[in-house]
Amino acid sequence: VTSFREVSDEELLRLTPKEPRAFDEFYLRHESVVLGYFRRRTESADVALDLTAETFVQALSSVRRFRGGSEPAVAWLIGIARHLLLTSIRRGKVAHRARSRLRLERIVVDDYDLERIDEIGRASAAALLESLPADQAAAVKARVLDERSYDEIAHELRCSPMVARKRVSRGLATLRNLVVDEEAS
Amino acid sequence: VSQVPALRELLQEAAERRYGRSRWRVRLHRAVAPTLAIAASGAVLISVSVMASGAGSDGLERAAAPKPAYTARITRLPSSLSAMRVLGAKVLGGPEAQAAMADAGVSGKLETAWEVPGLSGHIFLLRRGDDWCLSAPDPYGGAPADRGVTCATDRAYDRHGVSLRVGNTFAAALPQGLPSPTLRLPDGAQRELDPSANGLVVIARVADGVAVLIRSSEGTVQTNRLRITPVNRYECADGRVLTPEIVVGDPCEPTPTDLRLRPSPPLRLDGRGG
Repeated sequence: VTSFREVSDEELLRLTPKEPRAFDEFYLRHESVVLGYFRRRTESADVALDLTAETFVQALSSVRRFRGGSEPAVAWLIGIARHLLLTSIRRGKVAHRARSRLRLERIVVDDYDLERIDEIGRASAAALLESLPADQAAAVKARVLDERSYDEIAHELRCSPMVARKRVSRGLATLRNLVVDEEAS
Repeated sequence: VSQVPALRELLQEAAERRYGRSRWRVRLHRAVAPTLAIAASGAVLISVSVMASGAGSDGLERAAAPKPAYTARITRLPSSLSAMRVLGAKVLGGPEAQAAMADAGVSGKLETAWEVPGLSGHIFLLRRGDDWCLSAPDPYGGAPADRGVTCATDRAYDRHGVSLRVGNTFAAALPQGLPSPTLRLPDGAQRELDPSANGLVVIARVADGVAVLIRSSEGTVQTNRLRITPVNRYECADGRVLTPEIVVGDPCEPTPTDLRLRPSPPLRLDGRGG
């Protein structure tokens, strides 16, 4: 059985068409980020869950179009999430096209699952960011939470856009490890 | 550990459905694996018997045999007109069309669905809002949902239809009343193309430098110049010569990869190919 634990996000997406299980690892790494993103921006855990499902299915359907290098894979994923959120708000209903295309069944969850999603939404992003080096925390906050461009971040942090990307990428990798550690302990 | 195991499970199933090995590959694997296993056992037995018979009686351990290089020589081929085909098409009826559409995961209001012998999936003409969209399968894709789509506004569709190139396949859906399009070959020669039922033109394995000219009723011409990925000619160490369109690993390597190769059919420009 192949282990994908040591494989980068970008490589996981690249491998998915040949090794569909690689996407499972990608999902596990970013499930909380996407659930939290939607829970903080929507009225209920139900809606956050539906949008999370749609986001991952859309990512799954378009992994071949992902081009690594320009941005970390998680930024690409959050880009899909943001687009879906805006589309859903504009239409007044949760987008479901990708799930329909892949014939995904309705997700059956219990109250316990919904409570956990609420908790993820309540978790303070600031608390997690405090555990990062200051330069990485500033870059991650600016990119992921404030949704600013790399050029803007570079200008504010007085570094090149390339360095800003690097800091975001390293910060996200550190956060991911922190989440894994917390779950393991 | 997943926060929502139910979603994780559904995604795993969806990933397998979307990208899992196709049935024929599984069947091929099942068919070939026992043969390979028997061949490998035989090779081991022969090696053991050779060693036991004293073939290596000089007392020195033999160096391991190098892995055979299956391909001896690769030459890039100029794109070949002989492989190009104009394909015929058949319009699908309601239930069949809807089933094909669902299978391909295509969205939009269906106008026409075509079955095109020689393609790995169906072609759809759809309405999305005010646009006309043409969806065609990717010849290099592994699933019906691997496809390309392009859209044209109402006005553009009325003038030149809607056309796209996916991999080395060209397709155009033309509204009624347009003059027949023209195929222009690299040497400048031109041939009229006869659209199939409901105005579909499909050319498979297009050659580099070919163009399809689509004329509007007012006489304006849309020129679709086609470029394709070059094809290599593989001369194998065992004497075979291959020109695969899709290269997976070393094409000269024996089964199972060379079972995927198909010979190129002769040139057909009569619109009834397949």
